[in-house]
Amino acid sequence: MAQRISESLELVEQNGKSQIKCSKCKQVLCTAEENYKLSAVYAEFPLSKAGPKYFFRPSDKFILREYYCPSCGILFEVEMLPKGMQPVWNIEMVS
Amino acid sequence: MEKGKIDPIALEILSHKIWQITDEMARVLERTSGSPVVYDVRDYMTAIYDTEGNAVMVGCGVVFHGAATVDAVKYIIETYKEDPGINDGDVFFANDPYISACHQPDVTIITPIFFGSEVVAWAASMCHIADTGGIDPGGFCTRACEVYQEGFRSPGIKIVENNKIKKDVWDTILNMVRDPGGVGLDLKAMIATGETAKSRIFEMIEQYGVDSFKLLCDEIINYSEKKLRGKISQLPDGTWRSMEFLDDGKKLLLSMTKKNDSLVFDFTGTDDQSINNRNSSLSATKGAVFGALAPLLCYDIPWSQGILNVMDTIVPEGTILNPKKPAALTEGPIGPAFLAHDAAVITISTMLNSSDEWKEEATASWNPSVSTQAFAALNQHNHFIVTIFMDIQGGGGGATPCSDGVDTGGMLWIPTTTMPNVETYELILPILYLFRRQTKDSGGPGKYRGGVGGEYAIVLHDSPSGEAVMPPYGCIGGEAAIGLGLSGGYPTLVKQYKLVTDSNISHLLKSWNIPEYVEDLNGDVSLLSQSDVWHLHNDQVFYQNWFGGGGYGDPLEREPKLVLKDVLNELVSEECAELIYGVIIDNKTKLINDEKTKSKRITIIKDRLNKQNKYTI
Repeated sequence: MAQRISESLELVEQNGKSQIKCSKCKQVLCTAEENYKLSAVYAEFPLSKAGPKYFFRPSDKFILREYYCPSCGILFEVEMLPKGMQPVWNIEMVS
Repeated sequence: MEKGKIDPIALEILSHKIWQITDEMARVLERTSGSPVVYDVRDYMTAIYDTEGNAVMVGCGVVFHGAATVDAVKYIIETYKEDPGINDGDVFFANDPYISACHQPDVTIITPIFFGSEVVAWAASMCHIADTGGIDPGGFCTRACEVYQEGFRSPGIKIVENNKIKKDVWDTILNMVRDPGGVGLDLKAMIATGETAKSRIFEMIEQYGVDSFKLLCDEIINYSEKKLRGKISQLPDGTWRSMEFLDDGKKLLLSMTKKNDSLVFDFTGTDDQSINNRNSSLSATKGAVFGALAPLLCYDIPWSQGILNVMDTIVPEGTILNPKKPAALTEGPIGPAFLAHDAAVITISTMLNSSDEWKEEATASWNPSVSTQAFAALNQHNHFIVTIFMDIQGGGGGATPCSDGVDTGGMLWIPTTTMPNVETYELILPILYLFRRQTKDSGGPGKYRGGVGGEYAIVLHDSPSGEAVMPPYGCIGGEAAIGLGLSGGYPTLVKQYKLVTDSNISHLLKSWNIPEYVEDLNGDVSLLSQSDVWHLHNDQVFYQNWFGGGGYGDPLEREPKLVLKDVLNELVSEECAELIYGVIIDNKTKLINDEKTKSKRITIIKDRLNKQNKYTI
């Protein structure tokens, strides 16, 4: 039985292992002990991606990083952080 | 109530009675203070404490202070019980952020409540006063680098003795502030709330007895703790993290761990303290966490010490969330502490969102800051006035797993706040509003959209001096996006302050033309930096926007008809509808083009899958 992790992620027991899957297409991403973002595909954008350009100062200090399912493309998470910073492991559930 | 026992029904009724007392204290404060910060914005707090200073009931004011004022009351009890002593008829003033306050302008007035010769309870109220006599007017001291530059600061001083205001203390405090009339009225309003609390608690004690009243206080605290632990134990175990940034790049990291029925908020990994005033006191940081926990998980639990007992907070010393003396801290509550609050909202909500039963309680960030500015000038009545623009209270609510955020819905950490009226400010300040409205595209996009924020523009009007000083405050959300989304939702916009100089506004107003956008004016439009103190002169126009709420879920999953509705209501632009939501609206008919929308969304998905970048560490 799948345990919900977020809108598009779930935790599933399979063959004695806890795995994180995309809840939309059931693509296996990683084990419960790993950061799902490292198994997602990502893209980086300027902050103005979130809205019209005139709301944002021209700045390359911070970026939006989007993480998608590598199979169906659903957007798992949007991070706001400095360029080059590692992904935040934002969900670490105990299986 | 039987002796030594309180049955559940009596506990429920009487805890509401005490809640009503804090509400009545709040009404007294609103009706006595002359400050729009108090009666419109409700930037205050009222609460009742037990004999040891534990919070029995925190009222619905600024929730942050529920945690901070516990420190103030306990400090008074521990430090001053012998000298100068604590007696019936005393009232204390406290505002030291290194002991209890969020920052100096947040003054707490603390009243011991005696029945006979013993203390049976304490009452406290807090409000944000207009000025503390620091280096910049308005109490936020943009240029301060040490706490000594931020104005009057007391760990605790007796301001009333034997039911009489101590004139020497009173005169000393008001002698140090730029608006003694306004500040004096605020202090008297807070003193009045203590009298209200006294009379209501006497009535309860006369009906039920001292021992039963004290037992009630203990039981409320125990009940809060038990109920919150019960809720938490139903949620999955795990660690949830959020990272947020000041505009200068300083980082805050929160790791919230839930195990069984305990919650630990660990800020290890947060950057070192700032050399300017962008530091949060420890009290403000703990208050920020309480300010997230109370509305999200404790909306049906008395806000008492019981909640604080569950909340374990780790805040390393020497960081922007717990600086060492003599670091300046006046921007703490509306800077780093707000980031701490936002991070707590995100981590608690991400935890709630991991449960099928509790997911609908989750929310993306609400309006994540009160970045705004003070205003100091000779007004149209020739009176020198200092106040703060608090239009930003009408911020957007965070989207949830089942609904859009509330448009200009308020603030999560002041549940009862309102926006001040335009007419209030125009009555007391030499200004005219050109417009104030909701801001298109300010709600974070998502399957469910964040609520929109707002914007306004003002000019000086009937100003005797032709000038106003406007020290800004708020070191977040100008470059780094805050107000984060959840589960694929986007953050809200980044705020902006603009000044139009050499404008033709006087000419336009004389001919009854009010500009819709500041860009429609002649003159030079410049973006203002929050590192400076601003000045507004005649024929200049000042503009500000403020935050909406974060979005929830992938915007491509938003129903196209909802996107169309947003566009028709001018909450989302057609540009955003296409680029972010993938919804194409026909220019002429203003109807959704279903084929083109389907095709656009497929194209966006293909673009995502073509990326094939994976992060490796």
